[in-house]
Amino acid sequence: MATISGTTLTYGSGTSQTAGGGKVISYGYGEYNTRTSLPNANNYIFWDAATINRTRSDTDLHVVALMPGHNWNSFPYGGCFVEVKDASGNKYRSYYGAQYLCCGEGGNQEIVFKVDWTFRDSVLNNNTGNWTVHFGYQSYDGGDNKWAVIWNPNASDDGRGYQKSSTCFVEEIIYG
Amino acid sequence: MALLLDGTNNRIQFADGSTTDETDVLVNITYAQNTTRQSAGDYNQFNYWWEVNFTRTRTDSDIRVSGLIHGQGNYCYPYYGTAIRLVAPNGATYLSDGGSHYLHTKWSNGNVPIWTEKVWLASQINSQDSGWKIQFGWRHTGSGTCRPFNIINYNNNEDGRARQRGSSCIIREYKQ
Repeated sequence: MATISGTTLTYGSGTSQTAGGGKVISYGYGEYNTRTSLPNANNYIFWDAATINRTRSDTDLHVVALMPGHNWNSFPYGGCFVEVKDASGNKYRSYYGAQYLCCGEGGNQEIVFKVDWTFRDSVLNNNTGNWTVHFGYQSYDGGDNKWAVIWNPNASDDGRGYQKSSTCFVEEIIYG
Repeated sequence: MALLLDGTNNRIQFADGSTTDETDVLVNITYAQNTTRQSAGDYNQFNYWWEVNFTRTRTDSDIRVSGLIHGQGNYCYPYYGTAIRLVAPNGATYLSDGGSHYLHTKWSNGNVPIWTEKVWLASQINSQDSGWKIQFGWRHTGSGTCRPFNIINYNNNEDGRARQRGSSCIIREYKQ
């Protein structure tokens, strides 16, 4: 027998459905596994990573990404960003929540670039439909830089290894 | 406002105006941790040091694996040989070199974390539900062997100041 208590519907099986927050209601995923030489550039998008269908006008978009690099170039730099864009081309960029770290041993070593950032509904417009996620870099002083020489390293960079890839998960959340 | 059973739109509208419109696409979560200090093995073919069992509740869901592994002591670097493998109930395996990346420091006895962030879409794996496994490990091209670090989950054997370190993973099942 199904029961309703407050704003929760509980089915006879024991599963339930509740109105309100604390839910992931949509998600998207992207993966890219091509070894790429990054350019020295400014205001440069190096990956159009994922697409998500935003189903509501008042939700947050949470982005998590893991991107491998090889051979340091600019550090600490502080110019990497994550950006989301709606179907009309409106862009929202964050330099927060997007950080990389070079191995301090020297050049020709690994670099890890991690992203964990939520674009709150208060900073986004009300557009629903497809939104895309992008990663890039832009310096404060206008100079050309890059966070790694190689993005997605492979056996060309260490003969013992395999093709690495970058991953990006984006979810539409109603926080509780 | 009265409770409204809206058969046309397959939803319930509660007295406070909220509805069951939004279904949580996150359908199951498994968490595991490993806090046993152990030596890392040298592998050629993919092999693993940690295997986590989880239940896939649906036959058509996507599987997301997130993890943080605590390693210590530089060995092979930059390497690019860490990997993860999904194992279906029938034994089918899905190996990914992508979505697994680590960073060593310039100190030979330093920390070496491995991060995991990977999604297998339902279209990339078989349609079995119930008992699946995720394995954390590494491999080496050609005939050699290697390991990304010396010790997994280090403790005060490695640094007299250290507490027992532990690794963790979250396996999320999504369907939208």
